[in-house]
This record gives sequence, C-alpha cells and structure tokens, in this order.
Amino acid sequence: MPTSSIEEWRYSDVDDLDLSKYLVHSDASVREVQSNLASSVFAANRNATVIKTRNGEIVPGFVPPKGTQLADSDPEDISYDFSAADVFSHLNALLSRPTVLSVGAEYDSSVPLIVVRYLDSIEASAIFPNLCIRLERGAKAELVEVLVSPDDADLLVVPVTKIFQEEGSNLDYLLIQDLGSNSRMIGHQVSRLMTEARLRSMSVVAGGSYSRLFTTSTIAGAGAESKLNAAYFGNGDQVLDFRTLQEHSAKNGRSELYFKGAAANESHLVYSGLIKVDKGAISTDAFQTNKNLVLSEGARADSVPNLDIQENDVRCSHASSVGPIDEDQQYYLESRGIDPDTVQRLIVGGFFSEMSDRSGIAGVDGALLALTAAKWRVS
Amino acid sequence: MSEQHFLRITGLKANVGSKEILRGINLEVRSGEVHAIMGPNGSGKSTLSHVLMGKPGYQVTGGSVYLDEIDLLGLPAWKRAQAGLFLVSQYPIEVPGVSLDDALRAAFETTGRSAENLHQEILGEARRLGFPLSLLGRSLNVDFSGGEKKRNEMVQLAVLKPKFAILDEIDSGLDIDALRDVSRRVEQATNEDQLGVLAITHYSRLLKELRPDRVHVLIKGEIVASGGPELAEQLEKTGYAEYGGVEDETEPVGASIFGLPS
Repeated sequence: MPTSSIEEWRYSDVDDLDLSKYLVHSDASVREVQSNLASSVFAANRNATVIKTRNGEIVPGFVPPKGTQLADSDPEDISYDFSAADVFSHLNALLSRPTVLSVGAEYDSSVPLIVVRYLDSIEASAIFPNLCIRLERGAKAELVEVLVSPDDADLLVVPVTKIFQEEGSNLDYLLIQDLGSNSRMIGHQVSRLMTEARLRSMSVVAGGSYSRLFTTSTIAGAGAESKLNAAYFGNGDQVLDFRTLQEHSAKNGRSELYFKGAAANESHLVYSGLIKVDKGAISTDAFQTNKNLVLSEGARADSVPNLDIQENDVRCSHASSVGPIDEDQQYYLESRGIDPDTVQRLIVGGFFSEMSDRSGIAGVDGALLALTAAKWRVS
Repeated sequence: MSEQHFLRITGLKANVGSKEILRGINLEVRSGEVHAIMGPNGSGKSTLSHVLMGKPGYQVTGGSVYLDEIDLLGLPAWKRAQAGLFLVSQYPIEVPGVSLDDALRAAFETTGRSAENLHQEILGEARRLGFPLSLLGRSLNVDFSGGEKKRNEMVQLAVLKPKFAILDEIDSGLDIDALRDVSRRVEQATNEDQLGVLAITHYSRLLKELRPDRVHVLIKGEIVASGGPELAEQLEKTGYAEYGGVEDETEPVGASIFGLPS
C-alpha cells in the first residue's frame, strides 16, 4: 500500500484507508439514484445508446448497436500502457470483469454512447468498474460515462477507463462523477492515441469524500492530439485530487490540458501534473494549465505542474494559479446592483461555463451549470 | 414628467492610503441635468467616481453623499446601485463566462424586478446603440474593442434605468462615431427617463456631443470654478493652467490603466 509520504500520494487520504473493511463482492441490490449533474446531458442526447451497469456489471439485455462489439477481456495493446498504473488500478485489473466496447468506422457517430454506472451497497464495499473503449481505424464516437451512488452508501470506488484509439479515430469523451458523500474514489483514466487520432475529454467531478482521478494520455502515434479538460468543485471537507501525465512518445503530437477547480468551505483541491516528452518525439506541442478559485478561508488548493523534456524541438508550457475571486470583477458586477453572494455565484458559474466549448457533447453546458448550482446550495 | 431626484455631494473628502485626493467637493445634480466635471490628470476625477460608487480601497474622511434621502456613503456598492446610481467605467472589467444577459438578469432578480422581457429589452437597446448582437451571448467585455466596451456599458445603463449615472472618462478609447452614439443615448435618457448625469472628463470634445447644463473645474481635489457650457469652451482655449492646475499632457496617462487613481 502507498502512503502519503510518497509524492504521488501526498495530500491524499490513503493513510486512513482501511481496505479490510470493504467487501469486494457486494450485494446486487443497487439503487438507481438520479444524477442531477448528468440530467442535462441525458436531456440533450435522447437518441443516445444507454449502457446501464450496476456495480460494474452490465445490466443484462444490452444489445451492442450496429458498428460496435462488446467483449469482456482486455486487448493486449491497452494493458501495455498500464506501466504508470498504481496499486489500485492493478487491483482493478485483478478483481474486475472488463466491459470492452469496440467501435468501428461504420458506427453512426451521431448516436452518443452513454455508460451509466450505478454504484451502491448496504455494507461497506469496494467496487472496481472497468471500461475499455477501443476506436478502430477511422472510427468516430461520443462517449459519456456517469458515475453515481447514493449518499448513504459506504463505498470505495476504483474505476478504470481505458481509451485506445487507432489511426485517424476521433473521440469526444465526457465523465460525470456524481458520487454520494460517503463514497471514496480512486480512479484512473488512461488513453493511448495512435497516428492522427483525436481525443477531446472533459471530466466534471463533484462528489465523494475523497476523489482522486489519475489521468494519463499517451501520444503513441505521429500527429495525434489529446485535449484533456476537467472542471471540479469541492465543498464541505472534500478532497478532490487530480494527477495527470501527458506523455509524448511520437512526433508531431499535441496535448492540451486545462483543469479548473473551485474550493468552498474546508475543501481541498490537489493538482499535480507532468508533461513528459520522450526522445524522438520531435515537434511536440504540449500545454498544461491548472486554475483554482479558493472561495473561503478554510479552503485550500495545491497546484504542482511539472515538465520532463528529453527532446529539443518541442513547444511546452505550464501555468497554474491559485487565488480568490478577482476583486475587480466582484466590484464591477456589484456596481450593477447585484448582491455579493449572487456576484460570487455568477463569477464561479462563469469560471466553469467558459469551458463548455471545450467539449463537443451536447448538454455539457448544463452539467457545468449544475456543478455550480449543486455546490452553492449546500455551501 | 417623472419624479424629481437629487444627488447631493457635500464637503466630500477622501484619501488613498495616507494621501488626500478629494479635499471637500460640493455638488448637486438633479434629475434630467447633465453636469460635467473637467480636470487635468491627477485632479481626483477617477477617485471621485469610485468614491461615489463605493469601490473598496478609498477612505472617505469627511462629507456626505445623498441620493434623495439615502445616505450613500453608508452603503456598499451594490446597494448604492440599487438606490439608483450607475457608474459607466473608464475601463470595463472582463468577466469570463458571464454574459450581459446573465449579469442584467441577476441585477433584475436581486431587486425583484421582472426579467420576463429582459432579453427583448437588451436586444432593443443593443440595436439602438449599435452594439453587435453577436457579442450579446459572449463573456462580458472579453475581447471587446474599446468602442464595444463603452456601448456595452450604455446598454446596461439603458436597461437598468438608474436615477443618476457617472460617466468616468467615457470618451477614452472611443472614436467619433461611437462617441456620438453614446452621447446621443445619454441625452435621450436625460429627456425620456430624467436621468441625471455626472460626466467626468479631461477633454472638451465629449462636451460638444453631450451638451452639459453645468461645467465644474476640478483641480487638486477641489472644484475651483463652476459655470455654464461656456466654461468648457473657455477651458479649451486657456487650459487648466489659469486655475492653478498644471497642464500635464506629458504625464503618462497609462498610470490609470493599472487602476491607480488619476
């Protein structure tokens, strides 16, 4: 087990984690609670193919749509990329049955795929959802993944989402994490992009007492492009913990990371990211931006960007900011007769809604608005 | 004829840090009137506008400001705005992700005004002011040109319908056409809605468009002369030197871009 004295687990609550208390095979009575955060996405994608899962298992009766195939074992080329994985991802690999969805070029990309993960248990349980999506050569798709659990369920959720994109494929991915307040999450999202593949990813993270998301994206083929975005809002005494790795191992690749968080009450945001450019990955463009709004005196945000460049002909940059709401913006809107609390909500809402054009999934603007609304109610 | 209001400034003194910037300003503006305050850089023009609106960072050390019976100096900026005061900023602030619609809707809702026809009103005012409709859904002031920012401020003023407006160097960054459009809309508001105006400016070119009823000369934090529109014409010929104000055109005007009081 890792401890918080290891840099990668600094600020995490891993020291308090008692794995022995969790059952691994939980009871099957899973409540399907609604996700307010995801409702606008459902509403805007009524034509979507919805894949329901309960505690990681697909609800029986699902028929893969035309142009897709469903399997339950990992393709080798994905396991390959697990070198950066942590002990929890390995546990996931040991204990889960993967849901592997292959999307072919003939798939009708106007029909989004929505995977809804209902997570629940009466007794304290550890759940290991494992989704693997493989876009075949030239395939195009929109994929939404929703994680939702009831507030009273005591869960350790260890979701792993693996994205493998073959040459020239194009994916818009959206994660909505709307877990209950007694859920802990240690998640891993990994993508591997072959030649000229395009990924645009957005993670909207709201729930869990401790929520960790480790995002790794590998430019494995020439000219591939990965856009990684995240919006998250902590309140109460939540810890929202993001670790990222943009790895460039092929030339002419581009990766653009933009993570934005807001912290209210006593919550704590953590961001630690690395851009790694391997030898031979010439003409790489890699950017990393992390912005944090700290909304109360008890809240806190730590942001640590890093670069590891082994090649000369590259353009890389990283930027991070941690601070309160801009005073001039606050005064400007107040001078229009808007009370200070509403002004803060507008500015924080704007901070997130500004990201809506960073995803191609319909309804993402509503999800970003719901993120602010949900946190403002209980703050 | 709508209700008559007054904005009465009496003996207003204010500091920035330990430095006294305003040294006792006396001024009264009534509904429908246009007053111009002219002064060189460093005379306290912008400080006056921010002190009136209630920007944090300025210490009022004396005097009073009343809008009718309301003691403005005892209120935070948002309550002064609700009382009927509006500031057209010299440098409108960029607010990412917040549109004009969002901001005005919030302003209406805070005061319990019905926002039912708000969008139509905004569209109407944007057309009237030549503000590009394509910018209405965009983030406030983000990537707007100087002219677009000022037209945007005027759309807000026209929709919010305050009792009094302070125009802080509204002519800075405006071309002639924009200056004319903005001035015409201010004039219409003084006629249609009995808006009272306090226009703060360095140059007399604004006053050719705005046609003030009264002109005041502000030097080193004090009003040293008041008169009719002829005072502005005279100032144009003689400059501020006659009043003991140094005509400091060479002073870097960029200082106020960084929010420092001019």
